[in-house]
Amino acid sequence: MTKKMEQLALRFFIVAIALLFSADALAATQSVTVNISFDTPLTLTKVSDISFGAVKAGVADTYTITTAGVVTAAGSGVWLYGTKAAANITIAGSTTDTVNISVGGYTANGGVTPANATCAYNGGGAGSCTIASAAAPGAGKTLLVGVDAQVSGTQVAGATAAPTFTVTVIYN
Amino acid sequence: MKQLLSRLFIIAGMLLFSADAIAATQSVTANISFDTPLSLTKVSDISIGAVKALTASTYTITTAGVVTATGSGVWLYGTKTVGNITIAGSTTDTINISVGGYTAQNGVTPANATCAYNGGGAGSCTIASAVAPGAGKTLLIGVDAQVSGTQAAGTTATPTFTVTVVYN
Repeated sequence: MTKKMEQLALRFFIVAIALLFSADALAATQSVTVNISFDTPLTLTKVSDISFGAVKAGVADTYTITTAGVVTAAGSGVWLYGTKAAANITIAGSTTDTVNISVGGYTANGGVTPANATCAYNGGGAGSCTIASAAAPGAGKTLLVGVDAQVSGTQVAGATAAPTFTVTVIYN
Repeated sequence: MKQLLSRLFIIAGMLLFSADAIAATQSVTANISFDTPLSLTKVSDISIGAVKALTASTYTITTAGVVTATGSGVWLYGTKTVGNITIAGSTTDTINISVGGYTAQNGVTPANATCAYNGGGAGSCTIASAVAPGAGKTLLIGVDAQVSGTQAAGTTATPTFTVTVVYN
């Protein structure tokens, strides 16, 4: 090997080493963790709808059924007979994540408008149905629901009405 | 790097849409029915007529208006009338009838009322699930009058009791 060839080989070696180190200097790595947890979807199972029973026909009034199933009339209305029952919904889902409960979609029927629902969740006292961060439902917790029924007074004896509203529960 | 970003974007997207999936809703129906309140209209009180003074006895007036006496009591004269009440209300819901609040007056104690509802036979006034009264059905009422024997001639007595009707 001539001296010229030796010099050339040395230069290639130096360039190769430089490229090797520069590759390390350019690469930057970072570990990324993808966190994912698993839980049970919320389910709402209706045990019972609300039942006011029979009230006086032809009289405008607002009847209230409490979460305990007590029916009262605001004015000259009279409760006559029949089964009185608050709505009963079983909420099931996560054992750890709290839930937010709300009510809406009040829909009148037969001249009766539902309004001002009240809720009692998991044995607690009755109050607004807008409940934030309620206890995680786990295998199942009871939501009792009362409501006002605003009766127009146009209903004749023998008539019935079935107004509705919607209970929504979401994870917090 | 590009692939990692793409995967993270997909996961974020899934989490965003899963927020909708975790809301659960339930429709609640508030059932309410309408009917006519019960009304009781008294057509007549009971009248046993005049009976023998100063004699203890029990006089019975049936729902057919027949008066009988036990022991030495004697019915003398006068109008014999049974209690007659018109019950009106629902055309569909049955009713429960009962009697109570027997209240003596002037030595005469009422007891053991008998009732005949809507043309039926006479019997106890504790009637469960009687037919819905609708525009009006008749309740005829008899009773025993237990007379103490202290009543002088010319006196009167007006003992009372209460008929109660409720929806079933």
